[in-house]
Amino acid sequence: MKTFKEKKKTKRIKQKSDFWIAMVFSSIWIIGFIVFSVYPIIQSFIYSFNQVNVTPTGIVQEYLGLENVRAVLFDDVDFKAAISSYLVQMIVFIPVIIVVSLIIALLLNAITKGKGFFRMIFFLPIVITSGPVIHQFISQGIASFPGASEAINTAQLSNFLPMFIIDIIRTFLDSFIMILWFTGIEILIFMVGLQKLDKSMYEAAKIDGANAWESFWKITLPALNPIIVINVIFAVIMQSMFSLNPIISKIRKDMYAVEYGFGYAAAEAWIYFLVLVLVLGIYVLIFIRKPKRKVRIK
Amino acid sequence: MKFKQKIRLSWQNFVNKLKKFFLAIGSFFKRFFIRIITLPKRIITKKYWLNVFGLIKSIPKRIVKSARWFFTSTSDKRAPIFTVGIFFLLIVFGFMYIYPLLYMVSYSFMSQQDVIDPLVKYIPTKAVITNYIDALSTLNFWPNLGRSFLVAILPSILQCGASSLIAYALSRFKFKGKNILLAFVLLTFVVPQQVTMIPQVVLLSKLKLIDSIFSYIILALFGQGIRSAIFILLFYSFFNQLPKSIEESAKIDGANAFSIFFLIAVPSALPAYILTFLLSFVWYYNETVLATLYLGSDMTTLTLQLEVFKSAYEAMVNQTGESGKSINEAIYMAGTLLTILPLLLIYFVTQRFFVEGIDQAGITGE
Repeated sequence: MKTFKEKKKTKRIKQKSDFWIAMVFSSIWIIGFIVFSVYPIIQSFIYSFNQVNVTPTGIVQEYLGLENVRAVLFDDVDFKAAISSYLVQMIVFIPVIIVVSLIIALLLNAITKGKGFFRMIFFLPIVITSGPVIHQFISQGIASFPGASEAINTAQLSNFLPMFIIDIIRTFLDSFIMILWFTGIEILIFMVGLQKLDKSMYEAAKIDGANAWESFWKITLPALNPIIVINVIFAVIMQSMFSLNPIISKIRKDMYAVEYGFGYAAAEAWIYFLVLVLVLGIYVLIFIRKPKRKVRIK
Repeated sequence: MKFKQKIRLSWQNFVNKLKKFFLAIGSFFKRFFIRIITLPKRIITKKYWLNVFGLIKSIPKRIVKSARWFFTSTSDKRAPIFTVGIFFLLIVFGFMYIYPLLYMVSYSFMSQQDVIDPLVKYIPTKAVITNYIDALSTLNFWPNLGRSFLVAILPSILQCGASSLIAYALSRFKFKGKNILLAFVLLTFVVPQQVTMIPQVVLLSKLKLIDSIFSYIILALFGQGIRSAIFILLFYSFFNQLPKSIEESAKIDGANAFSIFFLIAVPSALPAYILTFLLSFVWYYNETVLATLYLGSDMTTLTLQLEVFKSAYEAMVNQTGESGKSINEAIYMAGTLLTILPLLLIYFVTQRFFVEGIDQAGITGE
C-alpha cells in the first residue's frame, strides 16, 4: 500500500510539453507574422487616422483623427456605390456558388467512368482566373451566354418586382459564367467531403424505406454542414480578395490619387474589412448548426 | 508504385485492351462472313423462316422490355436514365465552364474582317496566325514569360517549406498557445490584402527590398506569401491524417524532431507539397495588384503586360510604323490565350496531382 505522500508523487506525471520544439518549428512563421503582418496592420490602422503623403524624402503624415473615416463613410459617393455593388455581389454570388458547386460535386461523385475528364474541366478555371483575364472576358461579354440578360425582359418585370431585385437578377445573368468560374475550389472541397461520408448510413436509410430524395435532404445535407460552412467562408473571402471587386479597384485607385493618399485608402480598407467580417459573420450564422446535445437517459 | 512502373503498367493495360478490341472485331467479322456465305443454303429451310417469324413476333415485347430496363434501378446499379441524366448535366455544365476558352480560341484565329463581320460568330472563315504574331511582340512574350516564371517559382518553393513547417508544429505538437497560433493563421487569411499592402510596401522599402523579386521572396520565406494560410491549413489537415505510429517508432529509435520531420513527414506529404507548389505558382503567376507594388517597373510579368495590352499594342504599332492598325478583339484574345497558355500546359500535365493532393488532404471539418 502506498503512503499518502507516495500517492501524491505518482499522480503528478508531468505532461511533456513540446513547447520549445514547436517554437523552433514555427519561429520563422511567427517572426514573419509579427514583422510582415501584425506591424503592417497596426501601421495601416495608424495611417487611417492620418493624411499620408508620399514625398521623395519619405512618408509625411498629418494627423487627421477620424476625419478620414468620416469622409469615407459620409462624403464619398463612389465608396457607397462600390460597397453596395459589393454587397449585391455577396448576396447574389455566394449562394449560387455554393449551390452550383454542391450540385456539380454530387454529380461528379455519382459517376465512375469519366471522373478524371470532368474533374479536369471543372478545375481548369482555378488555374486561369486572374485579374486581366477576367477583365477581358467581361469586356468581351463572354462572362455570360450572349443574350442571356436580354432573354428576360426586364421592362416587364419592373412592373411587379422592386428595382433592386431586378438589379440582382441582372447582375446574376450578366456574370453567370464568372460565377461558375469561381466555384473551382468549392467543388474540390465538396467532393472530398462527399467521399468521406459513411455509406452505411445510406444503406440503413434504404432499408427503412427512404428514397434518394429523402436521403439527400436528411442525411447528406446535415452531414455536409461543416463543409458547407467552410465553403461559405472560402467563397466569401475569395470573392472579397479578387482584384476586380469594385471596392478593391476603388481602393487601388485611391491609393495614388493626390487628394486621397494612403491614409484615406487605409481607412477605406479598414471599413471594407469590417463589412467583410460582417458579411462573413452573417453567412456563418445562417449556415452553422450546433451539434445536438446528447440526450441523457435517466 | 514508382512512376516508371505506373507508365509501363498503363501502357500494358492499353495494349491489352487494344488486343481484345481487335480480337472481338475479328471474331465478329468471321461470324458475319460465315453467315453471309451460308445464307443461300439456309434460306430454303423451314427452320430459317420459323426463326424470322419468332423474331418479328417478339419485337413489341423487346421494345417494352428495353424501355423498362432503361428506367429501373436495382439495389446495385442506378437506372440507366439516371446515368444518362447525370452525364448530360455534367456535359452541359462542362460546356458552360469551357465556353470562354472556346470563344477565345475561335476568336484568336479570326482575321480582322471576320471580327467586323456580324455574320461570322464562332467559326472563322479562314484561320489566321497574324494575331498571335502581333500578340507575341506586344506582350514582349519571351522575356516576360521568363520573368513570370521566376516570380512564380521562387516564392512557391519557399511557401511550400514555410507553410509545411508551421503546419507540422500545429499538427504534431501539443503546446500552450497552439490554438492562439491557429487563430492567428486564420487571421492572416481573413484580413484582406489591401489592409496590409501599403504598410508592407513602406516597410520593405525601408529594408531596401522593394522593387525587386526579393520583396516576394522575403515575404514567402517567412510564411506571409499570397494566401499562405490556405497552404498552412492544407498541410495541417494532411499532417493530421498521417498515422502517428511511424513517427512514434522513430522517436523510440532515438530520432529527434527534425529528422522525423524531414525524413518521415515530408516524404509522406508529397501530394500536399505538389499541390501547394502548383497552386502557389498559379497564384503568383496571375497576381497583378501586388506585382505592381512590390516588383517595381522593371520586372513586368506576363499578366501585367496583358493588363496594359491595349496601350502596348498601340505603342508597338507606332514603333513599327504601321499606323492605322487598330486593336481588335481577336488580337486581345490571342494575347490572353498566350498569357494563360503556360498555365494550361502545366495544368494538363500535372492535373492529376492537383486533385489527388486534395483527395488525400481532406480539408473537412478541421
